[in-house]
Amino acid sequence: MEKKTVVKVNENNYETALIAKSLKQAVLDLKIISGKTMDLNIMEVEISEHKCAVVSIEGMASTASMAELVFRPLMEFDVKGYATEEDVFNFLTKQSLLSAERKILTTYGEVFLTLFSGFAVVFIDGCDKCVAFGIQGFDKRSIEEPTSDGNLNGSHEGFIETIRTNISLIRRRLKTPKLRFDMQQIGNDSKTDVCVAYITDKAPQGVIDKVKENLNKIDLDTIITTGYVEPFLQGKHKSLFSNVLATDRPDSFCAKLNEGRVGVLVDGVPLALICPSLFIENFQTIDDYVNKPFYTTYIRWIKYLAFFLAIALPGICVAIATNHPEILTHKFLINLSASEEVTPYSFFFEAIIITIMYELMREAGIRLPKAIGGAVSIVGALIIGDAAVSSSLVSAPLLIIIGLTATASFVIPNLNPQTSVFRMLFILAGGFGGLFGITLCFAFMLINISALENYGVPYNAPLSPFTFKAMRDVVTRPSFLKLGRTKTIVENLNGAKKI
Amino acid sequence: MRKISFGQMTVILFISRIFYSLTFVPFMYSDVTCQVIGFAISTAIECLAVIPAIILYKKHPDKNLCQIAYEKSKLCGILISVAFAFAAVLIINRLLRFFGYFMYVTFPDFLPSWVVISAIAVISFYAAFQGIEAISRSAGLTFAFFIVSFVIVIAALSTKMSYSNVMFDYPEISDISHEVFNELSKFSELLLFPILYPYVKEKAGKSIYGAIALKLIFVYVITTVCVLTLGSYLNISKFPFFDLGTYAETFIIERLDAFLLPAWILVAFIKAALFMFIGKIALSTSFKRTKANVYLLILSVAALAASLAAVLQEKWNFPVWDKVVVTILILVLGVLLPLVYCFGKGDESETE
Repeated sequence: MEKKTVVKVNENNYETALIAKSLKQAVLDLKIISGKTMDLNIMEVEISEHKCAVVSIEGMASTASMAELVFRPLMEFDVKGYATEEDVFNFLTKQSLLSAERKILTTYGEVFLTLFSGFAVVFIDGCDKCVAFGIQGFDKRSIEEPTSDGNLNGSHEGFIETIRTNISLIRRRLKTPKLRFDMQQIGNDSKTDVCVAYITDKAPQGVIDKVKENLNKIDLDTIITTGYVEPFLQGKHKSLFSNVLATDRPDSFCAKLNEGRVGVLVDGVPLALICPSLFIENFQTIDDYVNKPFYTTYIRWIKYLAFFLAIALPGICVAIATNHPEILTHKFLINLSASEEVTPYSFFFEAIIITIMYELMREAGIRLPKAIGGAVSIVGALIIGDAAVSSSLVSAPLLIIIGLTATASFVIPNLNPQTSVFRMLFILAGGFGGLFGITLCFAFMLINISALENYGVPYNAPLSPFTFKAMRDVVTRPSFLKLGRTKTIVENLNGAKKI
Repeated sequence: MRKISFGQMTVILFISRIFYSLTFVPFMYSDVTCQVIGFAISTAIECLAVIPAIILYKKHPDKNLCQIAYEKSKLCGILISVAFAFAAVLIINRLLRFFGYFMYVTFPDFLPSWVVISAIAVISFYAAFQGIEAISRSAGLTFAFFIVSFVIVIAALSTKMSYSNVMFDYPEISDISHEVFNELSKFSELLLFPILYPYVKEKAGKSIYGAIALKLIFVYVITTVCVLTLGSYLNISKFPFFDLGTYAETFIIERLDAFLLPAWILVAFIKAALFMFIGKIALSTSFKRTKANVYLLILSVAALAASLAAVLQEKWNFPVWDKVVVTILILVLGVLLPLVYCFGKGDESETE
């Protein structure tokens, strides 16, 4: 390590600066670096007639653990027989069991990183090293049911904000030494813990290395959410779809690791990222593997239909009603014509208005507290459902179409951003270009999905390039008697390249 | 180099081939017997015509025709690259104009034709820009969509088919030869293959035969369905295949052309994207200084401008020279040149 002078250490050069031998100087340095921040606790004590200081961050370390695991053993420690500060240091590091997690630190950078991770650090006068003890005790949310990916029959545990708890949730489900967690700090200021998880004999080494390489490329000051990390994992392709899957379920995460994927956990976020991911995985839930195969197969097709309805139904209806009414049956056409006669605007314009209103209501429902969010739904239903129709602002058939579309979009929550945008694009394309416009919009979406690949795996595999074996879990859901025998490692899909 | 599979190559060649098959069956000059015989003869000739390109592929599996020519002689390489780009522009121009005409005839009060062809050109450019893998993956899904919609339409027509519609006539040799020439002039995949085979992982030779076989099956099925369903109406129908969709009816919707139109548009944009892509590859092989995507843009703009010039003046009929020039280019670039270069020394690597 590059030797740097400890004199005049400050908040800009502290990271590699060596710890001062003198306790007085070390404490002074800590105060200078931290700018005398109020949450830095420095408690000076005397052990074996040697001056020491126990440093911690308020709220990050457990006071009970500190008293029980650090203060009491230190104070009960008999001084006789230990002459030098080196002996005290050796006692702390080699002959005592003050805490399960113990680190020897030599620079102020390491000191602050461990302090902010909830460690207590013991400085000894005359010693240019210090010892850190893991006694984290910050408040954290308990493990709760996942909010974004609900299920009926699977596990009800979801990831929380604390990365180490999340790691334990994964480890509990995969009790193999081949499961590895490689931790690194990312973010110039935040030094956020980011963990790469994989199973050694399943995940391709090239993908593991590439994920780590991509993470190392991140040059941001802070990592607040997974959204900061995701673009670096996604690759260069510009697409409306994301080829990195986010999940808040440890069971889904473990299933993907078992398929040879590489997972990324970010401290402070109750989500984990999985790469590479496939388009078709947006339609798969953990319940699919709990229910009977015949039912899952049926529900899967309902989900595929739901995706189609969510993006294209209003657009196709606008295209047909505006440009190709001859396609409709006579009775349907007469009914549609009768309902449209009383409305002031065209079907196309009505569709745009209702879709925008729906997006407004949805966004308001998400952002508002749950109690008020329900009220938004009621107001929305009243305004759209009753008032808009009775005042002849919009026609009832259109309302049914948008209602059906909205319901369909809830079936595939992972693709909600894409369905929202494409829905509007399809309406515009259908209104201006009829079925021709719809098809061009579909072609754009097709190319957009087809061009996407991540870590050598095409995003729309196993559909195209077609992989027969993998397609069994797409068009149907085989029983585990069959599914268990076939390893569905993504690297084995047709079109997947070794990187 | 990014590679595609044998199956993907088969599908993209098939998709490219069926674009014209979807627009055919004008029985004005030729009856069904001539067509059936004509398809069989033209398919046999197509199978023979691809042999030089396949030999070339076996000798130089990792180099396209332009690269091989450029390595032998720079001037020849440049000329061949330019010829390929020119052929690509001509074929895209034909495709766009044809599509503009189709929209003009079937939906006269709908979008102006120039908007239609411009939109297809833009989407095709986007696809070609994304590369051969993206095109081939899209072609796979288009193929599936096309088959599903075709099956739905045939199922909906099943009650309307009648053997009384079949009319056989004694075939005239001149009609058969005309049909054969007509079919061969549409075999533009002979231009795609010598440029695209380095992108295929293995069995590239079999892929073109697979595409020809699929096309033959498809044209026989479509001819049978057209004859059994439309009967003598075929003589006046401009787009019999599309008329099948118009004629098909279910209890949900009155006409099923809504299924065929998207399939047709997707097929058109895949074909246009493929030719834009090979034009780009051909030019970038010989003119390496400029970025390949600049050539793509130039080719797309040139093809679109040529189409717009014709469409805006409502010149729908293709001049005879157009068909002759395209046929000559197909024969020279797809058969003659591979034949010339396949006599040279090959590369060491084995393919099949």
